[in-house]
Amino acid sequence: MRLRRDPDPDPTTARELESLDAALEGRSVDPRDEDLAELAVALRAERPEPRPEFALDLDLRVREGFGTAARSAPAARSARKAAARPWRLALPAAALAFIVATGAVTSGVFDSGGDPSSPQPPLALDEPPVQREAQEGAGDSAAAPATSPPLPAPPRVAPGARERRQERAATLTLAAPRDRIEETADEAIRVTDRHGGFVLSSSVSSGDDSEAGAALDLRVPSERLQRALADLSELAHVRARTQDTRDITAAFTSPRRRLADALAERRALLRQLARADTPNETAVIRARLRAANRRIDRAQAELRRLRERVAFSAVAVTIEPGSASAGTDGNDGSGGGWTLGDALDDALGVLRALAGATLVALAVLVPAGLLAAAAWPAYRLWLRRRRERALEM
Amino acid sequence: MNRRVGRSRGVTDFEALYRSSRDDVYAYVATLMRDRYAAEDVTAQAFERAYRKRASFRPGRGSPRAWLFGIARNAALDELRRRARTTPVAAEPADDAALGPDDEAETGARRLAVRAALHSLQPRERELVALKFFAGLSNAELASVLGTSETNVGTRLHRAIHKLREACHETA
Repeated sequence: MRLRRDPDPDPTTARELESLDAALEGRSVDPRDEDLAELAVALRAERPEPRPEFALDLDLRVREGFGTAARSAPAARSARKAAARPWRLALPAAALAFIVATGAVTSGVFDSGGDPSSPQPPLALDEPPVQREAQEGAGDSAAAPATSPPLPAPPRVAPGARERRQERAATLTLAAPRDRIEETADEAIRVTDRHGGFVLSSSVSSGDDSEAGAALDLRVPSERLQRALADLSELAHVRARTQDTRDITAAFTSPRRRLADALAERRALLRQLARADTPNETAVIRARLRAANRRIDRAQAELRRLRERVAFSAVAVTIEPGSASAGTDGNDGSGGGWTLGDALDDALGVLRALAGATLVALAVLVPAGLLAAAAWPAYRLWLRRRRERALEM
Repeated sequence: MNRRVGRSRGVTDFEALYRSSRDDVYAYVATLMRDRYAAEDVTAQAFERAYRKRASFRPGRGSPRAWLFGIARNAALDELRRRARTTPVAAEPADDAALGPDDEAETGARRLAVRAALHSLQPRERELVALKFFAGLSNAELASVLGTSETNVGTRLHRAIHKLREACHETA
């Protein structure tokens, strides 16, 4: 390389080099260097000359623009070009595809509406496993209150799989215009009915005072919880939404055991009653039977409540007064169709994500490029040295 | 011989460059290869490479001749490397024919001494002599071809010439 500055040659060396050049060009030479001049001329005379036929052939090829050579290996050349062009495009194309894909994925444009507060799509319908209750006791189902809604059909459970009982709950805070709070509450009740649920309690305060709002305590079949939440979320702008799942399998153990014990005791008492001889003995057994029946009723009631907690999820809906723009006009992305505003939001999201992905890509590419630029001269030097080793072979 | 044919970017008159450099390139390559036919192949290859890359020539990085000789040097070294890989035998087969077809007319003690002295040089020194005395490159062009400074080239050339002179005297 030329980074190191070499010292200038001494005057004698400079003079002798000048004499060599002069001799080669036919100029007069310093008398002190006549032998060098003769050597230069003698060396010049040793110059290898090309054969005339080779020179003629090469002249022709040059005149034709090496067309002969081009015809002799057209396939190789075209294949080389064909192979080189896609590679030139492949890297930028891959980088662009990476940036676009990263941007699209991270922007969330493929999500529903692109708004994190919008209702979640019914994709993750991991409906709660509403398990069929084991046969805890005769007459159990008949003892269910007539007012209770029918239990949802139990989902299919893989044979042998351990049945877990999960209690689910959700809270939803909606923002609706003051003049639409009552209407929104009514719509929420209709949604609950449509999904086979029921309203445990409701409280609606309308008007212009600060107390305006609604609170609904709903029960929705657990297997339809996600869809019901999605429908409820479309009623107004969603300010908050939470979901909670709790395993209550263990809570079933104690009432089941008490029920089984009481049933066994009742069967034994009934057998004793059949064998009783005296009125006094009969009265004692009947009293014990009544106590056993009460225990059976209590255990069954407790199991029923547990099953209802599994079968129905508690949904607490709070409706708060909010701005009109946060209503159900769809611009907030919480409901309605995909509007121009939503599209603009999505587009901005994509652009932000693209900018981020580009920044990340640059964070990798710029240092890599700097390193490559720094290593390039060393690489060239290494190549040159490697080539020049051929001289020593 | 040192006619400049480069203008702004790229070699604008390749044929002129070829005409002025054909024999010089051959002489240099033949000295490196020490094989007449291999030298012809490499010379043709060098000119073809130069022809195809003529648009990439940058006048700011040296003369067209220096550029051409850089290509010829790479082609020759590549061929030497290839031969070293495929032919494990010594890479310097003697080829007296490469020294000139008219030996009979000009044989003499002085010429034999020069020829012997030339063979006694190290390959890098012989390359330097070939570029200077056979190809007729200036010291600046030599520096460009060899990737070193003009001063360094002068020093190395001076050292090689003195070795040649001493070798000639010893032979004489």
